[in-house]
Formats: sequence, structure tokens, C-alpha cells
Amino acid sequence: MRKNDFDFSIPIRQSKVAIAILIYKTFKIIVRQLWPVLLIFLIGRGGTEKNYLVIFISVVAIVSLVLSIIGYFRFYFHIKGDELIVHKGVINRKVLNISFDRIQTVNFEQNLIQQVFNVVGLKVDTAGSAKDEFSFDALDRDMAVALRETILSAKKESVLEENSITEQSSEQEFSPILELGVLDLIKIGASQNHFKSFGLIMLFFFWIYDNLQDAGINAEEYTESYLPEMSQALATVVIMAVILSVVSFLISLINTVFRYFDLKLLRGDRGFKIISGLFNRKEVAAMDHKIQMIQWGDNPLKRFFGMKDLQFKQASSVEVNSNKSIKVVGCYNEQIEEVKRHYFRSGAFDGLQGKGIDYRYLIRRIIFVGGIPALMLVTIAYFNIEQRWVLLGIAGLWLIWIILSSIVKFKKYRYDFNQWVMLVKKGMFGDYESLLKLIKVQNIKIQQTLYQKRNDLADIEFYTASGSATIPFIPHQDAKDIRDYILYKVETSKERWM
Amino acid sequence: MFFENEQISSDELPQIEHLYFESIESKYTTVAFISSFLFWLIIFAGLAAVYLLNDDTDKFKHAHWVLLGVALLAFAQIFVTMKSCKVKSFALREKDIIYRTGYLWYKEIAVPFNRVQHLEVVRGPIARMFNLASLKLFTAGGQQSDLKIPGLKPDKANRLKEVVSRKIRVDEEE
Repeated sequence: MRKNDFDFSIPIRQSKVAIAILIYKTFKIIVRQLWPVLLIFLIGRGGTEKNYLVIFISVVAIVSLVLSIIGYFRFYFHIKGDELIVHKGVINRKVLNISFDRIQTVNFEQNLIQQVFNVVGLKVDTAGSAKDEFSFDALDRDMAVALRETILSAKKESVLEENSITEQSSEQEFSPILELGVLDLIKIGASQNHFKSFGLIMLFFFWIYDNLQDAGINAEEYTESYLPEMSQALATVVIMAVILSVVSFLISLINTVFRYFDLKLLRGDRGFKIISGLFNRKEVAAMDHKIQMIQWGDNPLKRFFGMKDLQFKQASSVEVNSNKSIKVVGCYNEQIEEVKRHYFRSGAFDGLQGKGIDYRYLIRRIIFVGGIPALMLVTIAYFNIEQRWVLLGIAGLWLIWIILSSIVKFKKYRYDFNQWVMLVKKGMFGDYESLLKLIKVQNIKIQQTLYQKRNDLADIEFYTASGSATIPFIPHQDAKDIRDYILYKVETSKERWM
Repeated sequence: MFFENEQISSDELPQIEHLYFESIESKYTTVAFISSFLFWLIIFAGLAAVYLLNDDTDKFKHAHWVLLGVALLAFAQIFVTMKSCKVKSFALREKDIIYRTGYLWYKEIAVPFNRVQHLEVVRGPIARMFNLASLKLFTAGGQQSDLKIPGLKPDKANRLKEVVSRKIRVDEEE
């Protein structure tokens, strides 16, 4: 065993490389906070202001340097019994005692600096409050591996289960399910949600415009001289739109390449491992018993390429939508089938059909989401003569949109369950499917509005330790039966669920 | 891993429907009323402050309509809150707890004990004046799936906490 090479009982500092990473991190935080100011200063013409800027930057740089170095020397750790003890903090000194059985996962991370120096960042997630979570900035790879083994094997001994989990990830045990090539990456980049990057760009421009004005530069003065006539203005708008679209597309693409470069989805004995990233390589483990739910979905563009995004929802102490849900982009159907095959026992999908929900879901949604807002708009239009036709137009379009989308949503809602799993399908533009093991459920809610009560219908929602699934508008009796059955499954299960 | 495939007839499953649900203390309705009332009082105080501190009367031509709207909303909210207190009830079973609440949105929430992480008895300032406490059941994951049962007598809340804690411990030892 490699772990004998290192003596963790005496306090150890991180690799010296950590200083560089700490400086880099501090610097990044400062730049992220202050770059608007920096930009304004760079654009602004003031002479004396620039001198202040230089002084300011130097002070910031020196302070961050000193803080980083102190931080490095103040950070050390050792193992005592089955506890990991970490000393840290520059101004407020802190001692963290983290017992092994509270440690959920130990993940590796490598950014560019860490890759060059062959050290790894280690992230330790604990069950408990968020303040106990911490990370190592740089450990020699061998030491990191040994530390992880020590923690996880000690943990295993203390758990003492018959189907004890071999959490050590000895690399050779893993077999690949998915490896993304360059072509895949381009497809993924192309099928991202471009509206998001478009929105970001727009925000960016508004923000620059705003700041320029604050700095005493009136952007309109400059632009107006370039836009003498209306017809040309229209042309400019069109050109701008095209440019913005191309830029959003490129941003999505670059973002995709950075994040998902050389993505590998691997399967081990008892879990999955995902490695990805160009400059910042992340290695994340998703153990079977930690996975609460598996979800996959697409959008029209992704469907065109036949690709889906897959998500492993993992149990976490912190909030549900934190980074604990691991996303694997660019899976084809075969890979999803393979993941399902590994994660669920054979026969888990026998007899799953996909039942629809009650048609009254459609009626209610059209009335409440479509009709009532439309009615309000019509009421306003009645009083507002100037914009009457615009308002009526919006009301009509809204109603049509809600009717169409409701029909699609209603048709796509499908659910079914058997002894092991619950399957919920839904979607509007895309198709989303959630699959969860019944025993992962930790809270079941049956909800009824007054209308549903009168019509003997109900919504049922299942909460797991990471995310939930809802089935709306099913017969009340069915909801009760499903609940009673799942409670029975959960309460009789001895399987490890988190 | 063994392959379990027991057949269970749905009639044999224990059904929540036939349980006896114990209502929370009726005093809690008063607690709920007071806290809602205080909430709306603060809102109204805020609105009044905005109205009085601003002398641009033209802008506040329709202020009375706004106030009327907020007042209606307040009444509706307080009414629904008090109504829902009547619904709040719970049933304890050997292996889980079921809680009913909500008037407009009626909810029935079931939490199995072997998924509960820990329990707490909490007492707010208003509840303390009425000698009431709440029992909170924490599950893993987010706040969404935690369960809070308000309006219990403190000794009953503590007793429930003891009972459930013991069940969790037994479950872990198995």
C-alpha cells in the first residue's frame, strides 16, 4: 500500500506550489471584484488617476502576496485517529476537526498551474454544514492519492457493511463509457443554449455603457456621429444582431471546449468517474450509493445531433442545486442505456410503460397561466386607449403560446414505476427524463388544490437527498397507492442510500 | 447482490388513509394570526411611511386603491392561514410520520424515519408566549424536504423527538 509511504500523523504542509496557487487565487478574486474599476481607469483620460491606480495595484499585489505566503505557512494538516485535523486561517485562525465518516467525497482538481507542477487540488466534501467544506490547493499527486486512500479506507472499516464499498479509485478498475472527441465537442458547443451567452453579452454591453457614462464618457456622442439616418440605423441593428449571434455562438463553443475538453465518463466497480476540462482538469467521482437520481434531457438542437445531457444528482449536505449534480454532456442513447444498466440492477425497467396525466391539467394550466393574465391585459387595454391594440395583441399571443405549450407539456408528461424505480418524463422544447430508485425517496408529498380535491386529483412529489420529481394531476387514489408503496419500499430497505 | 422480487398485493400495504390524525393545539391558530398580523402591520407601516414622507401628491392619486388592494390581500392571507391551522394534524406510525397542512393547497407529507438525519424542538417568540413548540425533522439534502410540525405542547414535542430519535438510533444499529 502506498499510504505507508507517508506519515500523516505529523503535521504536514502543502506542496510549495500552493503558494503560487494561493497568489493566483487571491489575485483572481481581487481582479474579479475590481476589474470594472480598472477598466474605467484604463479608458479614462485622467493623468493623476492613473498614478493612483498604479499605487493601488501595487498595494493590492503586495498585500495579496503577503497574505498568500502567510496563508501557506498557517495551513497544515494531520490525521489523528479517524479525524482529519486542519489548521488554517490568516487573520482568524481556525482548526477543523473532520471525522472520516462525515467525509462524503474526496475529489481531485487540476488547473493549469497544478498540471504543470504535477500537483493536485483536493476537495473534501463533508456531511454537515457548508463551513466545514474545504480544499487543499496543492498536494503532490502521490500524497493526494495516499491521503484519499487513507481517509476512504478508514471510513470503510468504520462502516463495516457486508456490501462495503471500495471507494478507492485505483485507475485500472475503471472502464470508459464515453470519451468525447473534437467533433463531439463542436456539436455540443453548437447545441448549447445560445440565448444564455447572448444575454450575457447584452448585459456586458449595457454594463460597459453604464460605466462609461459614469466615467464621464458619453457613448451616444460617439455612436451618433456614425448613425446619421434611420435606414442606416436599421442596417446597423441587423449587422449588430448578426455579430452578436456569431459572438454568442463562439462564446458557447469556447466555453464548451474549456469545460468539457477530453471528457471521459468511466465506470468502476461501484461508481462512475468523470474527468474533463482543458486548463482546469476536474476529476469527480459519483458513487452508486450517493447517486440519488439520474436525469437526462435534450433541446431541439441537441436532438438534431442525437445528443443528450446526462446528470447524476448526488447527495449533498449543502443546497440541492449546488455543484453536487454532475453533468455529462454529449451522451448518445447507447451511453445513457449503459449508465442505466450499470446503476440499476438488471430487470429494473421491466414493464415500465409511461402513463399519462389527467387532461384537466391542460384545462387548469390554460385557464390560470394563459387565461387570467390575458384577461388582465384585456382589462388594461379597455382603459388604455393609446396602446389598446398592442396590449390585445400581446394577450392573444400569450394565450396562443400557453395553449400550444400546455398541449405539448401535457402530452410529454409520462410516469411509471415498478418495484425498483420511478420514471418521470416531461418537457416542452426538449425531453427530460428523471429516473430514481424508490429507496432513495426521503419525503413524499401529496398536494391538492381545492379544484383537485373536488375532482379527486392530486400532485405527488418525491424528494430525494438531491432534487425532486413531481407528477401532476393524477387520480388521488393512484397518488395514495404510489405513496403507500414507496413508503413500504423505503422502510423495509436495508440498502445503503447515501 | 441478491435479487428480490417479492409480490405485494396493494391491499396488503398499510394505508395512510385509515389513520387517526391528531390535530395540533388550537391555540396555534392565535399564534399564526398574530404573526401574520404583525407581518402585514409592518407592510402597512412601510407603505404609510412612503406615503407620508412624499409630498408629490400627483403621483399618489391612486394610493387609496393600492392600500385597498393590499388590505384585501392581507385579509385573504390571514383568513387562509387561520383556515389552514385547522387542517394541520399529524399521525405517527411505527416507521414514519405523516403531516397534513394547507387549505388552498392541501398537502400530505410523509417522511420515513430511516431517512431522518436529526430532530430539533424549536420555539419562536410568539409561540413561547402561548407555551407552544415546533418539532423539526431534518432530512439530507435541502430545506425543501425538511418537515416542521408547529403548535405542539413543549413536553409533547420533546416526547415526540425522543420517540423518533430512538427509532432512528435503532434503525442505524440494525
